[in-house]
Amino acid sequence: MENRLCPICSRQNNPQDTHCWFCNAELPPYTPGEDQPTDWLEELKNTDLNLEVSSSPIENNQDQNRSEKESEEFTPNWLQKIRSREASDREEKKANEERYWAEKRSKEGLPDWLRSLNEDANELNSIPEETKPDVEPEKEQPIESLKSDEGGNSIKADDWLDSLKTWQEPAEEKTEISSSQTENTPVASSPEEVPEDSQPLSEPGEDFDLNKIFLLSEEKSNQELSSNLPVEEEKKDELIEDQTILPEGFNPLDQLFEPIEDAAKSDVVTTEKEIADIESSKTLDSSPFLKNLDDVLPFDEFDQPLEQKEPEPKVEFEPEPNANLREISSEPSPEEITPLPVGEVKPFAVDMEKVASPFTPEETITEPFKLDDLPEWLADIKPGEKPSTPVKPKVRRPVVDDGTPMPEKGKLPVWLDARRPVEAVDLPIAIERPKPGEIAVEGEEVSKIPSESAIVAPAITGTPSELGEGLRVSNRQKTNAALLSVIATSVEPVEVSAGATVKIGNQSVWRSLLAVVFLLIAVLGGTILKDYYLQPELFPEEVVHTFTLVNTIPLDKPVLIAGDFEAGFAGEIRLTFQPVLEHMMRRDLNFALMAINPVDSALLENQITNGMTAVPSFDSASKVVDLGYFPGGAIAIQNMGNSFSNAVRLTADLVDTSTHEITKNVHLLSDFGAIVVVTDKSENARVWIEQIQPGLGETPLLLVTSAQASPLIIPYYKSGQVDGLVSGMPGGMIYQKILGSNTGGFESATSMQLTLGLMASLVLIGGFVSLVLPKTGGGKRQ
Amino acid sequence: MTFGPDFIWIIVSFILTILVFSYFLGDHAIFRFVMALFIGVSAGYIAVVLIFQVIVPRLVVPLLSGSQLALIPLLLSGLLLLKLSSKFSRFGNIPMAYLVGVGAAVAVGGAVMGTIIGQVKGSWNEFFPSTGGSPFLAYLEGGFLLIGTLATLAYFHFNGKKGNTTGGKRNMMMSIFAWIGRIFISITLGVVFASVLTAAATALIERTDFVVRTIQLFTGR
Amino acid sequence: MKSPIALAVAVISGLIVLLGYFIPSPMLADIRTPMLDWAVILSGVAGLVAIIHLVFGVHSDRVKKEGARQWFSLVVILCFLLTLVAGLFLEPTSPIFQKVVTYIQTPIESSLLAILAVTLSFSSLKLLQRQRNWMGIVFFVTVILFLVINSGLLSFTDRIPILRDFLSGLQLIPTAGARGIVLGVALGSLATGIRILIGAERPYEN
Repeated sequence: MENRLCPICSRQNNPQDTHCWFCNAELPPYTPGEDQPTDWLEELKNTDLNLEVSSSPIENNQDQNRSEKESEEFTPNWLQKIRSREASDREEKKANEERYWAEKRSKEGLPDWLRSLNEDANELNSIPEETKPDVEPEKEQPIESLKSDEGGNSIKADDWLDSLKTWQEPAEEKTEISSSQTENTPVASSPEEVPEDSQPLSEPGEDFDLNKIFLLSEEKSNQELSSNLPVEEEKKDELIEDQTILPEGFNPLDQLFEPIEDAAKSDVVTTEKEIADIESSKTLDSSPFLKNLDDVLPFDEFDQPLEQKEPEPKVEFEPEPNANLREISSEPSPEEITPLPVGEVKPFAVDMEKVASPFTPEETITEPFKLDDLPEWLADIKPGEKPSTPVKPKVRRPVVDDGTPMPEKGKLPVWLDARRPVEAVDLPIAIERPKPGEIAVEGEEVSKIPSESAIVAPAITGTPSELGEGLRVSNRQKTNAALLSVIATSVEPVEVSAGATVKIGNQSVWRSLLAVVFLLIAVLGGTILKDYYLQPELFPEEVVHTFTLVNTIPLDKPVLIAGDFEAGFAGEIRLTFQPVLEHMMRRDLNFALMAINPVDSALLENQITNGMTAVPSFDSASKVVDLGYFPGGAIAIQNMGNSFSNAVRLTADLVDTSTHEITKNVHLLSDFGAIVVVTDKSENARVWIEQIQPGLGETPLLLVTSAQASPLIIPYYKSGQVDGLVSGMPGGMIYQKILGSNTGGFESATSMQLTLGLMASLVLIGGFVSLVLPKTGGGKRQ
Repeated sequence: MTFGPDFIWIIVSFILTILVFSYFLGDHAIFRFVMALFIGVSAGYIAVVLIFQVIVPRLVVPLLSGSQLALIPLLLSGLLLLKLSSKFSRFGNIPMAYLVGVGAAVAVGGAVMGTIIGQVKGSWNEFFPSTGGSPFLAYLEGGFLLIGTLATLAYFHFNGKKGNTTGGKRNMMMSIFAWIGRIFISITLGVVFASVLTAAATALIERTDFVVRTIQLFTGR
Repeated sequence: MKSPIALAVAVISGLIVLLGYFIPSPMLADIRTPMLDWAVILSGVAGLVAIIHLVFGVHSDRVKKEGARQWFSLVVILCFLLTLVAGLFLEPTSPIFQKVVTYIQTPIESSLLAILAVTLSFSSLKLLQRQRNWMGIVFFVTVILFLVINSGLLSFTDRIPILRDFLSGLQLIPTAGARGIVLGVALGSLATGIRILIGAERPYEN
């Protein structure tokens, strides 16, 4: 048998499949001339349809003969099974009727071809049998020929279709609807399965109401169903468990109802009237299908189910007891159904606007079919019954890229997507198979690769529904769960081995030895080798410039000394700033001390006290004023730069600066003789330069910094924003040498040179050893 | 160094220095005790300084002198204190927002007026030095500095065209400039690292010198 | 938690202060000056809040919990209280109180920096162990060279003009690089500040 080609994804399927294996779309009926498998049709034709139809209420001898004849010619397996089940499942229909309606309302609608069958059946019911034309055998067309053409309603009459009409149940048995059969069975498949040169379907019976048909199995292709639809008699829902599932976003109505407008309009009256009657009489419980469809599906006809759904208890969709449904089902009367001309098919009441804009919530659903009009064979199908199709295993399929165009992925409503069962989700997504060493979707370790100690992160693949049957998990939740699993599994085990401990201990020993060496050199340089140092011969330009500027500070103007350094750098600052301070003290300048760091007031005071040992004539009590601590960093500096007198109103002793001897004439920063900023970081120096330098004018800005700050301050000196710069102990030594002072860093010059030399040697030796030894990867020490 | 009223303080300072140096032997409880002592003393000192040199002169004194404008920082300070409460901490967002807004404005203004304009001006002035000298050397030096500056800035420019592969790529000119800038940055950071080592070495020398002098003081040399 | 009031306060205050940089208006200066003053006061109060939280929030909680940290946190609290009481009695300008800084804080912090010198030197032994590329080698050579320059061991080169000029010229490279880095930092500060002023970033919200 030839493979059957899927009309959606154009992939080959098994001949016996009724739904596409890849995209789960309903396969068109087998047509030998259109690459459709013909074997099953032949088999059906040869099959002895000696089903147990005698117990079916819709059968009579003549119908049975016709049906048998039809089955010989064209009877699918599902129909055979249905008929065989009819007798045994009669009792269950009544009890499950309500449940069927409830679930049907929440699920997809009927296919258009089925709806049209309903209408046709209603019309034909009013036509005497004798007047019904005999469909010539040669006009009998396979299922595919029943596909809707451009008009969608020119379905040719067929023998099988006629036999279907005669196979309908009697009207009084239409009320026996097995809701259990109709549970979770989708409506017929896509309208594309309706033959293009469609034959007119037989009219449904008077009481035939395809409203009850909610879900049809995938086996029951549209054409098969229509051919055997006892429309005028059946009102039982026939739920076929294998639901017709369309790929996401596929809108079969577009194909069906392109030029259907005329036919649709002509049928609006009939179907809408029925629908209005039904809708007005139904409550939510009694007609959950309608209500839900009204809320969700905008089509006037029953659309095909988009996906296969598992039966789930839906409290909100529980219908009322059967009595209501019975009442409703008995409502439609034959006289309301206008007879269709022979050979024509009454399509569903279609609103083209609604078709053009699907999923519009405000659209209402028309329900042309009535409960009573369901054919018995359709109603006999239990929703729980599944055709004998092989259950698709829950495996992820690899992507088979055969060059065929992929169907466009659409978007489902949230409620619909949450109800998708796992089996139905089988979309051709590029899925990575988890490798043996990787974790499966659930995060369980499949197997460990011996070479890998870490667990590979799981790959979240597949659609969200696959991660849990019936579990409503949002994509975000799944993503978060995946992240948590990755975090939990990616934590490397801390392996503290004995070797690592010994290694750490060795490093501690080496570091201690190195510390001893450094201390020894510092001690030697400060004691024995104290005078053995290399004197610098060239003085840096910035140091010389600082010296020059200090020499030119007016005596009547105070000098602002701003401390902005940490206590840890106090030693280096002391060695660096001491010569500069001594120089200014020798000139007998007035100092205004300011602290941007809380400890700098005390440190600067201490510095001045130490400087007084070199310049005993300096009277700190009258020459020095402590302005206190200014918090805020750049804000405080900008505040001072804005207006010094407003920013600094009181000294640290709570004396008004406007009255203090030193600061009474100072209103702006430019009123100072010089501003000396003592800092340990380049960022602090940069803030001072940015905030006050533009407004200083002729007042020189001098920086005394730690050695670590000098490389990033040099550009400011080069650009002229800083007038003088003394950085580090070497700068202090040079300033001391220029000044000719004994205090300062020269006492530790030897220690400095030896220590820095040792550091350079260590770096050099370490570099050479690193170049010789193989490269080691950087990793965390455990 | 002579014995004086600061002798006890010197002993305290000496002991603390030695205890901190004991970290060379490893982390231990005594070192952590010293750290805890340091944290407590620092916090106490800073609190005292804040009270006496910030809150009292800037908040209390103006309020006592009748300044109505001081009510605003008083209110903001009260809201800021609510940050200590987990229940009312959200009220402290307003003074924090004020601080952040003012700080951001100060940073922006300083960056523009101080650094960007100043450095651009300085780069230009490199070509025309005020001190006497060879103009050719001045141009050479100025050009070298300009190229180095631009190359350094180009290294931090990560915009690129979207290529076929993942991630974008810079165009060739920018790549060349970035490569040159990388050299400049490597050298600059090497100088910074050497300067940091110098500063740390100075601290080591200063502390070692203190220890030696204290020992000499104890031994009477 | 987003607060429009906080956003408005940040934006308005920031814009007023920023405008003062570019518009030398006396009226603007009269508004700007007290605003900066308030910010200074708030900075001090914020520091106080941080200290209270540190001592009475973090460390007091640790004291309540059993463990090794319990005793160290107790030391922190005790030292804080002692220093606070002493400072409230003596005042920060008192030379006795200032010895807390000069004889306790300074030795500890300076000693920690001295430890850093040894640790950095030990780490610099592995300078080329991981970064074994051209840039790593350039960095390595630069560190050695400038350590020697800073130490003054190359002072003899001052007598040799070629070497003197070479070393002077060598100083231009870090100058150019530093200028680029400084400009980059300024541009980054500019961008971050503008983001705060337009409300794109709100670091003040919880």
